[in-house]
Amino acid sequence: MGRSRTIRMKIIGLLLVPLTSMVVLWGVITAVTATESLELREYKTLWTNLRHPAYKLINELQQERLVSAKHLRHMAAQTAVEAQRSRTDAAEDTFRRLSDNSKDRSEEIRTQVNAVYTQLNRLDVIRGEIDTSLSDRLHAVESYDAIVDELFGLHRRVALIDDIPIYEQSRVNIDMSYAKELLTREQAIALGPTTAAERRMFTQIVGNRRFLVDQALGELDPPLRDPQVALITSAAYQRMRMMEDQIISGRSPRDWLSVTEELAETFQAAQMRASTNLNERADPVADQVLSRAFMLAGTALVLVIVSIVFSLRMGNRLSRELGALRLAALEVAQERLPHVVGKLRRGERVELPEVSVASTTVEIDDVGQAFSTVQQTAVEAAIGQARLNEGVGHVFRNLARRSQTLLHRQRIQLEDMQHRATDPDALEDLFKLDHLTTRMRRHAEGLIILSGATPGRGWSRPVPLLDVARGAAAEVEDYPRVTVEPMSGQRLAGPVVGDVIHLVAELIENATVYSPVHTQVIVRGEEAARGFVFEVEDRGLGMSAEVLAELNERLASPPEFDLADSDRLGLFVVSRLAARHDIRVTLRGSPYGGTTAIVLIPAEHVADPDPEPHVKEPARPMRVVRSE
Amino acid sequence: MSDRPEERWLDEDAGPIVPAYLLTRGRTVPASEAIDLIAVIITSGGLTTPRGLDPEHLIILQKCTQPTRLVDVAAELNLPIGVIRVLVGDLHARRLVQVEHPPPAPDAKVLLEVISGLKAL
Repeated sequence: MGRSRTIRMKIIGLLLVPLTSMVVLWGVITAVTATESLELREYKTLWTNLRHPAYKLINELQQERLVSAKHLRHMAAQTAVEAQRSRTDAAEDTFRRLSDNSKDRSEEIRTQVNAVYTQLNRLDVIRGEIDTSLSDRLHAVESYDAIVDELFGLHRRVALIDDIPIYEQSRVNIDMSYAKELLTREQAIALGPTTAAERRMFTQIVGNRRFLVDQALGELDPPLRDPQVALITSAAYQRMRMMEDQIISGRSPRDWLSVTEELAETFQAAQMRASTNLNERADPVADQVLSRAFMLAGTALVLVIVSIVFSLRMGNRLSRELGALRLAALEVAQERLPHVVGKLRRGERVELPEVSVASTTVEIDDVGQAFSTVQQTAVEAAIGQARLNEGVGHVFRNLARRSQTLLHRQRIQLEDMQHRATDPDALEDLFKLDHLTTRMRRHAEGLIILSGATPGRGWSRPVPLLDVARGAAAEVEDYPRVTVEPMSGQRLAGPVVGDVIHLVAELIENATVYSPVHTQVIVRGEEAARGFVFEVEDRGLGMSAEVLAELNERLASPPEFDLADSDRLGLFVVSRLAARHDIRVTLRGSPYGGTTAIVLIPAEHVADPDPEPHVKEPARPMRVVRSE
Repeated sequence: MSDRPEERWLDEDAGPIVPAYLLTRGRTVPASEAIDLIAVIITSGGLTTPRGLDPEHLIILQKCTQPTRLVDVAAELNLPIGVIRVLVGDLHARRLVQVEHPPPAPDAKVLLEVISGLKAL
């Protein structure tokens, strides 16, 4: 990850993962509980679409089995059989139609429903066998049994519910229904005198039925058990039991059909009531589950919202605090420190502002403090540097002044000797010494200027600008090459004479150094609208436009004095002196191929020519005046 | 070091702005013949001011409209006599001034005769 992002984005990224997880978890919890509730609801749907039609169909099949058995014993007419068969078909159609809606709920249900369909498809074959008397009574009855068994299998598979008590009661209730089925089988077998095989089957069914009823009664809960108990303890039921025993022992009781029919109906009614009761029980459970689901989902949602709001607020605050810290740090780095250091360089006093970041986070506070300390340290370092610079400057100035004083005395001495010299050769030597001394004095004065002070020489009266130019030329090593052309009589204000001589001397020095030794350096002076202009022109090779532009830039805005850049010392002195007196110095190419330096002295420093054409040089000898 | 660093020099104490060696460009021997200390310098007419002269030349020309001795010119300009010799030499070479050499000093024999004549009085 090479890209850098804002802290805000990172905080959002940080919060995104847990918040997304929370939302997903919330969704899962809601879905699970809602599904649970929906499944409970489905119990009822399955009852309506599968189990209830199945019960109806079972009932009709039981009736058809009974009628068929009667028909085989010639106790019922063919029309009654046909009537019952059409009722069965109607129930079958209803079952097929409704079951079609729900059979795709699950693989298990579909398999079971298909199995039922397969058995139902056998119905026509069974009926055909009965009509053509291909099957005996027992076989006919057993043919129907297979269909009914499959339908009960459907009941057992469909009566699934997540509520265990309801599920158990449903199973027991199905068992009780099966007991009723067994009763109707008994009924169909024992309509009249029985064969040995029929009795054997009958006996087996009776055993199974009694066992089933006894076991089921023990498992039913009171609201469901009481009607069943009432039924079993009824006189009709007891009579039926006695009849069963009689049939087993080979007799055929007269009222068997009526008694069992009555009992079968009662049983049927009791089963249906029980089933309805169970369905009603499932509803509140479903509601309870649903409300629990709502509560859970609601609570989770509130928690999710609270955590999102809290996280966003914390993240916001953190990013705001970091943003403030960033701004404060940037301000220190880009504005305050440079400002303070700049002030220190100019020797001004500085006040240190605190880096204050309103934050409640320990780390951010610490970083703010650290920035304060950094600023403090940096400023202290700058103060130290400024003091060191000042100290170095002071040493420079001190030494330079001492040299200047000695050189000045030496010049007085030389002046005196020049007056007394009569021999040209001796005078020439004195001139050479005087020139050397003047140059040494110039260098000492340069040091003084660099250290920020002014050289000790001063004039109170205006000095002709021609003399200024000649004085400047005299300070240059190769002065015989310099030609100072005559100029108008304007004079330069006394206080700036020393600095202007020094400035022009630096320019003439440059001109002589950067031009061939046999060429002349011309110094001209002319009055201008804005003051007075000196032109120092050499016949050297000149400079490229870029170099000229760079040098002009440096001359226009004096840079900080850099101890490392001693090659440009002269240039630095020029720019500093020019800035001190508002003098403009420009370099440009000369028509002769060399360089011309143009010095514009503002009018405020220029005085009109002296009305008396000649000023007498002082007759008295020079002396050294001490300032104190 | 005994030198006090904070010395200041004002006007005359600051020394001449233009040093003597610059006036002659370092020359110490006049362009024309040697000029005696008491040689008299006279500006040789001409109303127009010639070009290419320094202010010192002009002062000399002005001063010497009246015949003036070299030593007086030097005193007037407060310059070493060697420098004045070169400057006057420049003017003389351009025939702007005339130099009247003093009569040669009488020799010792004549002086001795004068002394003995005086004694005889």
